[in-house]
Amino acid sequence: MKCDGQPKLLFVTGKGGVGKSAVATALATRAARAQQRTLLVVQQPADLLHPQLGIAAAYQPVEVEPNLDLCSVDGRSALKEYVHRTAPLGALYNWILDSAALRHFTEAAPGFDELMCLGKLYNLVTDSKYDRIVFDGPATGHAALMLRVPRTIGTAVRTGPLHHNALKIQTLLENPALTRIVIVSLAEEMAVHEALELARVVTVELAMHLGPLIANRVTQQLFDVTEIEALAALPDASPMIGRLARAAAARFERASVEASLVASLRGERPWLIEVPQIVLARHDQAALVDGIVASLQRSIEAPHE
Amino acid sequence: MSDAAALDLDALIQHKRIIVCCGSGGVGKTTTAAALGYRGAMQGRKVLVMTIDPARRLAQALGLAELDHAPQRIQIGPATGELHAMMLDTKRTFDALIEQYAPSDAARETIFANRYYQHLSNSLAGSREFMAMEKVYEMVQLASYDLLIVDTPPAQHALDFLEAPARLFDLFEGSFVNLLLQPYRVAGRIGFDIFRRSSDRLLKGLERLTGYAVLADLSDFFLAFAGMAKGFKDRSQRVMTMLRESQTSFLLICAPEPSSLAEVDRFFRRLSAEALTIGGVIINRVHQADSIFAASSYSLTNDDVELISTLPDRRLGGLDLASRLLAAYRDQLTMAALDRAAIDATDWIRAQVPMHRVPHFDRDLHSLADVAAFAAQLQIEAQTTTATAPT
Repeated sequence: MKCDGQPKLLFVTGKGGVGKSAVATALATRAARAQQRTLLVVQQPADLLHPQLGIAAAYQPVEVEPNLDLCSVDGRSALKEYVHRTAPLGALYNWILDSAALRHFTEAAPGFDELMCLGKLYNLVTDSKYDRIVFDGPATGHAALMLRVPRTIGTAVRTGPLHHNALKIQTLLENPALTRIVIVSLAEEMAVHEALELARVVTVELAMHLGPLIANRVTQQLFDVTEIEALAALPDASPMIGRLARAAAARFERASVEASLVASLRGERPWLIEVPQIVLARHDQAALVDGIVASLQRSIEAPHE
Repeated sequence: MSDAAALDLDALIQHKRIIVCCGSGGVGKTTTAAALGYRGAMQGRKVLVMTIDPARRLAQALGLAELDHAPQRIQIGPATGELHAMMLDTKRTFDALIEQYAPSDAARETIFANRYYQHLSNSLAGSREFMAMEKVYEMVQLASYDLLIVDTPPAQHALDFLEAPARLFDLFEGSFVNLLLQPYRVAGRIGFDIFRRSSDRLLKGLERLTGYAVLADLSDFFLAFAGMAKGFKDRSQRVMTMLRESQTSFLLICAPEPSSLAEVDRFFRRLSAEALTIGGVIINRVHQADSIFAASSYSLTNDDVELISTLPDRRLGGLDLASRLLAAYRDQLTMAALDRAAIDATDWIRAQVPMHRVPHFDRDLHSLADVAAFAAQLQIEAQTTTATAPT
């Protein structure tokens, strides 16, 4: 295991719609371009393409670019692998594993799917093949649930293999040298509220450790209040001037609101990375990820903790 | 764009009894539900907005510190109707159902005492969605409100809401449960040890993977439920009937992004297959601009440049005021054009699915006044403006 003081596992989460997947992809891309063997782990149905990378993800990792692999985890595949690894003559269990009965169970049994996925992450982290695992995890609410599962199962199930695996996974998740929870937020009231609430759950309730909090798509301030006031006081000189003044006023208002939200986020969580809003002429996900990587490069060295 | 059909939300508010707001996470579903409720109350309806939301976002938006299982009246000033709101509590709804359907006191106590039920009934797949609909059914029976607006649980995909309850039944009725329960039915409560020694290979295999205690607890859990399966199922069928009636309308809330817009097609296909009434689509946070045209086709006249040069210039980021004004304007136009292109590119626009666009607000919505401002934007859209170049 390469040890450079950086955690091996980044568990990325955030409220729906904050750009969590794009940020996770950028974090993985950045690590890979820094010559770290990196695996981006997603949870995605086989028939959908990865929104940023444009390729399908399977349980077996595929190479995206040098040093960057992509894979998708799901509870059933993870269970299958687990059985093959641990049970003697594991292949004999295939008929159980492929049964409809077990499918019903793993789809609906509380916490089982989550535990199996976390177990797979555990194996990937302890494996020496990758320096860095970036897990594009579930959205905020479900993430809290998932992170809570090892403890819940460890308590509800007092002995046996499930109990031991749950404890092992919990130890990994609680180790700050190995695992960091990365919360992605927007500079919007509700997203900030949810991010701070999850940060509290992670640190206080779950005794896990945060990585940087990422404020995504932050509108950059382009104007000063005196400029905006002077523009507003202009006589209606020309239609173009009017349009520019209105656009500037809207931009000033939005950027001011966001700046104060970022400041309040930073007040609570000083280890914060601000990713500016990237305005592209068309929906170009690769360019978007490159843009986020560039802002991560600029600010990841910021002082923390 | 010209052939898009306008969504008349006021007609829905006036004539429906249930409006279900669906959508994937982060599209402003909760705020939209609150705004529809507000608009309903202003139009004289007695409205209840129901949300299931651990982050208590609706309470926040309505200016309440807390929102709980009991409906609370929201004071909204001079309205002819009333606005009420409540938060669904999955565990309590589940408890109440068990109280009602447990075949015996002993069965009820077994479930309440079961460790799986205590720890995990909230996270049992599909339970939130099922319980949300259960509560809607209960409130419809109560008949205390003219209109119920349902904010569905946060989900990765809008379809989860319709599909999740089926998964819950699969679990209760599925072959796995039968396999686990069969020996109990034959041998009674003392049966587990006997059947543990039985030659059932599947169970032995599972036991090896998970441990004996796990299977024993799970068997207890599902056995206790077995007596209620029929009650649950009947109830769920009545709920589906309620949703199919013409008094119910489904709205899909989405964002002007390709992935979110693409979900609309799948969602409506599924709704049609279930014979559910489609209301339409609300697209939130659509960026607006004075005019939409190619972002490269504008420039400043010499007079404009001269005028700007008389203004104070702080040279933020080393750029003069004129460049920054153009940059802000270009960003605004680009985002508006991007949203419009994404919406125009969808198949459902051509299929005349009624649509309503809510503009992106330059400030956040987190007070009752903001909900009112949002509600004002739910007025039926005038004839869609066409793209024009600046004059």
